[in-house]
Amino acid sequence: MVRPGAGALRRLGLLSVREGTERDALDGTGGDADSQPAATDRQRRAVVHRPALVALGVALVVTGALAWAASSSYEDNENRLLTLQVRQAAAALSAALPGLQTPLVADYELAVTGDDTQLRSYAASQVGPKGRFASVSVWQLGASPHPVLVVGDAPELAAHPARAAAFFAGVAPSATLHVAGLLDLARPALGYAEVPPGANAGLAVYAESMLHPATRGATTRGSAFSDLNFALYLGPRPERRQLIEATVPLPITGRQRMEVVPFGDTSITLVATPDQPLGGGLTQNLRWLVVGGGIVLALLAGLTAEFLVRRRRTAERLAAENDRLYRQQRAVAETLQHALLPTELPEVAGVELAARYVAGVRGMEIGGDWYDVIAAGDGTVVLVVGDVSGRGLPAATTMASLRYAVRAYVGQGDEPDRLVAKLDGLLSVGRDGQFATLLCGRLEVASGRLALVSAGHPPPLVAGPDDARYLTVPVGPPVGVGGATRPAAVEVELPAGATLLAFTDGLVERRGEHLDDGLERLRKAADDGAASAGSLLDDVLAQLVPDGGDDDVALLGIRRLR
Amino acid sequence: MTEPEATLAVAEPVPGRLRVVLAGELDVSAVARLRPEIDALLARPAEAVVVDLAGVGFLDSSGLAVLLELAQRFGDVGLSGPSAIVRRVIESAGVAAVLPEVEG
Repeated sequence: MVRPGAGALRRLGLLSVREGTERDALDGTGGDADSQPAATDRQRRAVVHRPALVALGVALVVTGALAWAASSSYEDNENRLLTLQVRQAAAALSAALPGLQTPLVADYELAVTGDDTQLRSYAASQVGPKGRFASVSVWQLGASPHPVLVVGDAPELAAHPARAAAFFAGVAPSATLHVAGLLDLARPALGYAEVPPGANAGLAVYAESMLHPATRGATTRGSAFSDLNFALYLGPRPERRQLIEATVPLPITGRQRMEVVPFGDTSITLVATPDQPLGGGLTQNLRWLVVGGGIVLALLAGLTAEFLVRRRRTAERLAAENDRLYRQQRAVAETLQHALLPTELPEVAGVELAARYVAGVRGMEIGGDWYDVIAAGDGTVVLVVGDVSGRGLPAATTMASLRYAVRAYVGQGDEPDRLVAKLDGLLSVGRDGQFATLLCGRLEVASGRLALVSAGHPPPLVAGPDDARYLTVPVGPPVGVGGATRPAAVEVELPAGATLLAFTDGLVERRGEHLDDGLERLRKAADDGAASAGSLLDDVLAQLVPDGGDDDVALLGIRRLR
Repeated sequence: MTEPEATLAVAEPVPGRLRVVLAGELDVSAVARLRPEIDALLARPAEAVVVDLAGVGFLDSSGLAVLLELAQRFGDVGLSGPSAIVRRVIESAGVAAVLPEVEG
């Protein structure tokens, strides 16, 4: 615990040294991050700490996951809505077929009755800008089918006898509308032929619809399918040459659905793609909102984590600095304390002397405990253990003056009782706010005769080979209290081989404990009959204050050799 | 080690007779903190002082010094209700005669 004197003087500021050297001298915190040069500290402050990066990373991962979920949900939703709308469109398309077929069946019935006037009048309502068809015609079937009655434009099919023959060869009476297919002739058209079931007149009613010139139309805005773009193909496959109509340039790319709808004796393939997000713009943009918001939150999380980490680091640095200052202060106190205590005990024939001083861990100020041994030169040894009340420099300076006063009085030949009485003149609790307890003894080495005086001090212990017991010493008032008369010195004999153990109250005093319990603990610790005074002191300290006590402890042992 | 802070309260139930109530752990740091109040107490005129120690659980040499200061300043100082632990500290310091126990 004792540090070299030069180090202590440096710490006290009595030696001028560079900052770095002083830091090196403080081995208590040496090697610790705290003692790194300031440049490294600045470097460390410039980087982002790991917890902040972790927080940022976690927040970004969460953001990514949420964005993925939003995106996936958007895709699912769009696909579902598209499927639904395309099915509805296909249903609407199927529902349109009877609208084509029914008038043709009616036309056929009129044709069979031969009432041409009524047929013309009726069919006229079906053609033209207001009707469904460009033309309605009645055909005579046979080897070379040809129209016998035409309402509206001339049928495209009539201009192509071979094609007409091929088509009508496959037309038999049935409930099904016969579709001539796309007539990619002078004008693109779609032809239908109707021969109701059971018919045997050798006639067929035939109608043609013109396709949009650019095979391009537009769904009506605001209609149920205004969000969709379509392509309609004749037949069960979306073949380009079978295109009936498209509302977008082909080919259709991206999200699309296909439905095949029965159409007469063939079918229509419907391919649809959304013109705009079917679920609205918000669901489409949700993922970007999540990404944007998530990045902002991630940065905030990172910044918060960084702020907290830095604040904790600062607190740790301050704690380390406080610890360093505490150790420094403690070291100053200890050094000063040891400087005020005897550096070494005198060599006296016939006795073995040992002393210890342990600084308390509670305070960081110097204490007022002391011990001293003075060889009087007439075969006697004077021993003193004392304790000035309070702590800090006032206690230490009073302790030093009392210690040197005792030495002076011993030099003048004063016996312990007279010596203690004279000390009373040096200190007054009313004036100085301090008093001192003191145990003073004079041992005649040859005989073992021991005169003892206690001024408010705990009694000494005699540890023999077999047991340990306290000496009964009448207790007078402490030095500095005055008033009461002091009891005379008590005379006892210290047996050869026994050790007198004098101590200050820090060894036995514990908060919340009766003093007698502490005294008994010490007696038991000293009961084992140690081999030497020094080992007895070490044993006692190890058992009573293994980690240092609250208060300072001064301990003196004197063993009479056999 | 977080005991309640030591406190000092002074009353004067009868003119010239002070009643000082001390409580808590009267150690070196508590005495340092209470120093202004102790000095103010020492400056008051009084014929007799009773110190109520019933609430004092621990008394070290600094706490004892305060009691002894009072005894020197006022002469007639009695202690009321010290615990066995505190009483033992006073006896072992050889100041029981200076700081006698009193009733109430």
